[in-house]
Amino acid sequence: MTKLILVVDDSAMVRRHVRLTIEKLGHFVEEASDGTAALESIAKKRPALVISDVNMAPMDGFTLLSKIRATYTREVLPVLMLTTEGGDELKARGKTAGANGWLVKPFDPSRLGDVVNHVLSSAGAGK
Amino acid sequence: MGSAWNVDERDAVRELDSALQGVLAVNEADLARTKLLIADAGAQLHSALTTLALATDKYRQALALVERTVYDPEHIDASLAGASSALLSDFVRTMVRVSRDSMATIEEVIGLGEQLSLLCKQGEIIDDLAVQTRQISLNARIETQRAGTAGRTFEVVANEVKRLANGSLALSQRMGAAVTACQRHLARVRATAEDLASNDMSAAVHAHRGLGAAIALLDGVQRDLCVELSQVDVCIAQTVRVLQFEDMVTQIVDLTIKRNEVLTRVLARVLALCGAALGERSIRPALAEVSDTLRAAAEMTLVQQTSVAEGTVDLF
Repeated sequence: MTKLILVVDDSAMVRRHVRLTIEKLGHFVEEASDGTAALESIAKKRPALVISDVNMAPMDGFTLLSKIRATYTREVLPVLMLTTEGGDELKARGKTAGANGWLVKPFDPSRLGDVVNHVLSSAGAGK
Repeated sequence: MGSAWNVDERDAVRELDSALQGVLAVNEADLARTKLLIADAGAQLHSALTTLALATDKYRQALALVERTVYDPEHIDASLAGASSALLSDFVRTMVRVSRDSMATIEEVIGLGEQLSLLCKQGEIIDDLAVQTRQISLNARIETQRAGTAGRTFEVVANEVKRLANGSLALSQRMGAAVTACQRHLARVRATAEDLASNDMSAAVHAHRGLGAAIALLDGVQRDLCVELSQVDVCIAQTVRVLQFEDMVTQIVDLTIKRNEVLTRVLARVLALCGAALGERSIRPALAEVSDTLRAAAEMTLVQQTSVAEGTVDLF
């Protein structure tokens, strides 16, 4: 079933690459370049999944995640963090803040596709 | 003329020198890492474009082969005229598919070209940093001359900064030239590939007049072409993987800018202290404070990942 997925990253190249990967799975993609734009998009479009970078300005990925979790649970709106940061401390922080997964760049497109499908099916998002 | 410094103050100056060298070393390492990432991306892109050029060349050869075969008098006979319409239709479908694949590849290359422009901007930022660092070095050298023999330590530091600035600038310029050359190449490949793609349909329609022999010959070429195109896909995927580090490059450059700002402030403070020393006032505590500031600047390390190795996945 086709879902809408929001990709949040300040790098246009990464957004484009994620979009190509996800569209090949048959889903639609919405893009945002930072946390503020992402929140507006979530309110308007109600995506089934959010894939977000961590280091962005003015609103970073952790702030975005906490604001999403103030309204939506992990099951209702899953959030995957996609970042160059691979430290255990940051991963633990992401888990505590309510992320559904932590992906360290560079990602392999087929692996990202598997993760997206897995998260969408197990969370039953977008219903 | 200023008075000689006491032992305590000389120790403080040595500490300051050590802290300053620490900041410069971190800056140098970060800039080198950034350039490596950009160079890596450029190399991958070059590889993708080279493969694309090879694939395009094979494509061109295939089309030439169709023309030669179709118009070769030896092939225009009854047996060739009896080629089945099914084979011809299959040929047309194949050509259309190749055309579509080519266009998709061109789109990817266009996207990579846009990204290359972004990386060029990063190179310009690094150039600015080098110029800024060189300016700091110049100021320090001027003040070193004013401080006389007491300023030998600063002269060493100033020379180090200058060396860093010169090296950084030269590397940036070489990188910029390489990137510009790559962009020119990209534009040529794009024009050629688009031209080929626009001719695909006419070539395919033209081939309806073609004969079974042409199809047989093209089968082999078609297989080669598919292999080439799959290699292009692999190269582009590798390039894109490297380019995912654009944000990391940005972070490193931002950190370097912050460290340079700290360096500028610290040098201004040190120069003020030199003036105070000439007035025989003890500067030991102030020098220690400046050293601490520099060490804190050297420890500004937000970027943890240092390579473009395979990423990981953790599901919670």
